[in-house]
Amino acid sequence: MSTKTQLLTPILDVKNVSKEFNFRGRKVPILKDVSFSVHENEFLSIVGPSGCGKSTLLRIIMGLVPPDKGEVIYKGEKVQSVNPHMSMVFQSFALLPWLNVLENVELGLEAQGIPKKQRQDKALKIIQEVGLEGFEDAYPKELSGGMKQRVGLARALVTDPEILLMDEPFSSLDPLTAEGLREEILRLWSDRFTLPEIVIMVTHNVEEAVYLSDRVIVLSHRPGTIVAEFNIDLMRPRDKRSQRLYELVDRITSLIA
Amino acid sequence: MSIPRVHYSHLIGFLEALEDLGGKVDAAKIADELSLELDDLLPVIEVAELLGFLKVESGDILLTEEGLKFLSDGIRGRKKYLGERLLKLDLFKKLIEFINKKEDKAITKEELLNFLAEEIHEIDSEVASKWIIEWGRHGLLLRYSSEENKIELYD
Amino acid sequence: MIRLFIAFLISIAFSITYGIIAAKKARAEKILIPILDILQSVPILGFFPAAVFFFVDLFGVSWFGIEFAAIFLIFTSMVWNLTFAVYEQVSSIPKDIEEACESFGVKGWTKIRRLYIPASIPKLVYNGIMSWSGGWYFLVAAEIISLGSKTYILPGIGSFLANATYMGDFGNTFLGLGALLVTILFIDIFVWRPLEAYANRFKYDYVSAIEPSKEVAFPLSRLTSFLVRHPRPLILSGKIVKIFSDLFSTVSNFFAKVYSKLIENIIVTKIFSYSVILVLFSAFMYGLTLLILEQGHLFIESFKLLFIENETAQLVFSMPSAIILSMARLFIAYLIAVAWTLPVAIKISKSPRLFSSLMPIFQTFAAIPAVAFFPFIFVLLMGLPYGQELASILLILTGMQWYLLFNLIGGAKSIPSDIEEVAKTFSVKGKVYWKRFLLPSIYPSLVTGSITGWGGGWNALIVSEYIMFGGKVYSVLGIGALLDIAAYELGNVALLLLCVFAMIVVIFIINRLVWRRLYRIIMERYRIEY
Repeated sequence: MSTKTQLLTPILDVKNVSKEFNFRGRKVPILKDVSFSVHENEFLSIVGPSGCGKSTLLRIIMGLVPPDKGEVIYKGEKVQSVNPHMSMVFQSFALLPWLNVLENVELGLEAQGIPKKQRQDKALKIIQEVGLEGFEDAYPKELSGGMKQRVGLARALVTDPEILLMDEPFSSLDPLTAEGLREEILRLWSDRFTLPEIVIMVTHNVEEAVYLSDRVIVLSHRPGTIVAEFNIDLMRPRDKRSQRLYELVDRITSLIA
Repeated sequence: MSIPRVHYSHLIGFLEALEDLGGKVDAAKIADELSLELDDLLPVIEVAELLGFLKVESGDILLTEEGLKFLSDGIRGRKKYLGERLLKLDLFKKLIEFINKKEDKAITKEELLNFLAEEIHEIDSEVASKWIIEWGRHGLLLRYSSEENKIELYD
Repeated sequence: MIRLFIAFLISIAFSITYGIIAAKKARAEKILIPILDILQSVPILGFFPAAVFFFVDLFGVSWFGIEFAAIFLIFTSMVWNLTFAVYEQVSSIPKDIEEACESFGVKGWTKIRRLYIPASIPKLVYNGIMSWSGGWYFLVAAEIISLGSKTYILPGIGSFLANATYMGDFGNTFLGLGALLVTILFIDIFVWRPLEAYANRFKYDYVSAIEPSKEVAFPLSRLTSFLVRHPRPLILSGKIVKIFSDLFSTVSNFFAKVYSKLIENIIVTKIFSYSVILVLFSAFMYGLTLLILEQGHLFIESFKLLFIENETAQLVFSMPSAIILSMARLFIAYLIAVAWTLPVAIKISKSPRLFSSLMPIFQTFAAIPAVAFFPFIFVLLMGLPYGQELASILLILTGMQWYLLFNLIGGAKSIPSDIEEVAKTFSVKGKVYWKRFLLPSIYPSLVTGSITGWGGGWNALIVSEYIMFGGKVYSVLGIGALLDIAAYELGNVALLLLCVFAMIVVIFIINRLVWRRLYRIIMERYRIEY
């Protein structure tokens, strides 16, 4: 049920973003004129064929990479550098191998200069919520893929971001684990407590996008531009096998192919 | 098999899929649904059965009441429940006893390896130890710090 | 220079074979790696007598024999570190890639060509650069081979420089240095840069670079872009420089393509490796037998001398203290080296600009044999109390620091891009960045750099503790000096071998007790897995 009041000012505004890369002296356009807005209480997915620049778009939103043209406006202000109110979960987990789970999760808070006791308390709390209890002393190499990604998630959430960005968070996981983790994310989303109000996920898995999100944006082949936007009007909790879901998945997939 | 040798996340994923399909499904069908080979699923099914979360009857897989309860619990609830089920397994019972007997209620990795070699006559106790530690952690039964080389009880 | 080239090619063939065998066959590994360990610890200059006897016997006191001895020496300075590189790379090929190869039925030569060699290329290139620097260093030593009363000198830049130093002739020293510099720069542009660009293809980087790595950039490109942007008068000169740099880039890229064709040509590599191994092996066996038969008696003679003559006996007894003093010097030099290379390496790895401008300079300096510095250091320090000690420590420093520097730079630059992104995402800066990101990822290279650095240090001992300058001899008490005395002044083979043996034992012990342990601990926790 997503009655989006379009009258509200969007939290995030992506305006005419374009980006090209220098490859062997040639300029290769990756993104072309991408514009969309995101309001509060929204789970947004961005899908598209591989190489269409969706990961780059995510990084532009985050402020990690500057756009060549256009801008990203967050709460009325232009994003110039890394936005501290946003966090990211990485496809490759990107955990620091020499730190244990607790230390990895605390990282963002440590960078902010928060003293040990405080950040430890906060981290332990998140660790519990995300299902990592019992693993605080474990090192990344002792963890399975699913657990590693949970650490990535905990790390991203501990700084209380307003927007959570996820870059293909389930692609490096085996199907069973991915299933379980998706359900987990859904549960966390519906309790309205752990996850922030806005989640933007990039994925190539259309089913997953439709199952989890309120809205799906479809990008074209490189250079990526917005081909379509879909409001997913399915009531939560959603049935993975509903007819309507299949229809939506089909429609979106046909746009990508 | 006395130690579960699959990842906890696989167990959960499988049980969730089972619940999704109505709690009772033909083995081949669920393999199909998940796009996995039945052979690959067997270990998970075995473990789930061992823990009492499902039953296998004439080719069908049935989610038990315990299984249902497990799934409906919150994150912490699941862990506690898992811990209870694990303690019903011989190996875990013995291990907890073994650790309890120690003065400081802790053992080293080497002691664990020896214990496993003796108890389950394991060829590869190193691999077995990894699984025990993993499940012990999930069930909130064990703590392990590789830095200090200490395995102790959770509380 | 040709000698260096030949030695290098042989080293590559050898290291690939040895490294792959060691990595793949578990049983062979148990023998091969410790042997390699020992060989690596032996100071190269300790191989001198053996090499000379060997080759001179083989070919008589002719041009051939001496040349071979020289090449062999340079080979030994290059090869161990390359072999270790291959061994490390091949043993750390991710399991799933190996399995993929198996399932496609890729075996034998194809496997070597398609999997093992490409896997080793980045490290080989990188270590190759270091080996060449080391090679230049030993050129001097290799081109002047003295044993007892006989001195063999080969024509070459090395002996030219050494001679100039010995004569105290500054003018010629400068000339020699200049020529060396030009050669090194030349090689840098035509060989190393293209190879590096080629090698970049083979890196396992999990997140394919958001910005693909740049092609070979001539170091002056910044200058040219600056010039070209400026008003009229400068535009012309800017354009000329630009033409030059474009020319160089094209040439470099061309060579890069040539090298890739060459390396990947299976027939070339096959023939090459087989023939080299065959020749080496037979020569080795032949020479060994000859050596034992003919030189045995000489050894026994000199051995007797050791205990009869007072002078030599005294020297033998001074060995323990000599060793301790040498170790102390090494340690001090090591601390100084780490103190400056660590911050510099980190600074450079952060800034691509600094990197491209400073690297060639460093590489050049690394190649200059310490011998060339002697005159300057002397003039500076001789007047001071303990001047000689300081001089030898400084000289030892020059033998150690480059290994550290290059390893550290390599380590600092190799933080995986996704972890870098994490640092940016969570705005990790300053102390936390150093503590959590930079230093931990550098620890492994700090350890390997220290290991190789100390190896270089032991070698440097031999030229730093006993110096011939302006017709006189200056020496401090140390194992390196002892070795030189045995070789140059007394011609006593037994004493010489004893010194070498003592060094090997000490180095081996340190290796086992310190370096092995450290390496294991660090790799356990700090290695980045893909």
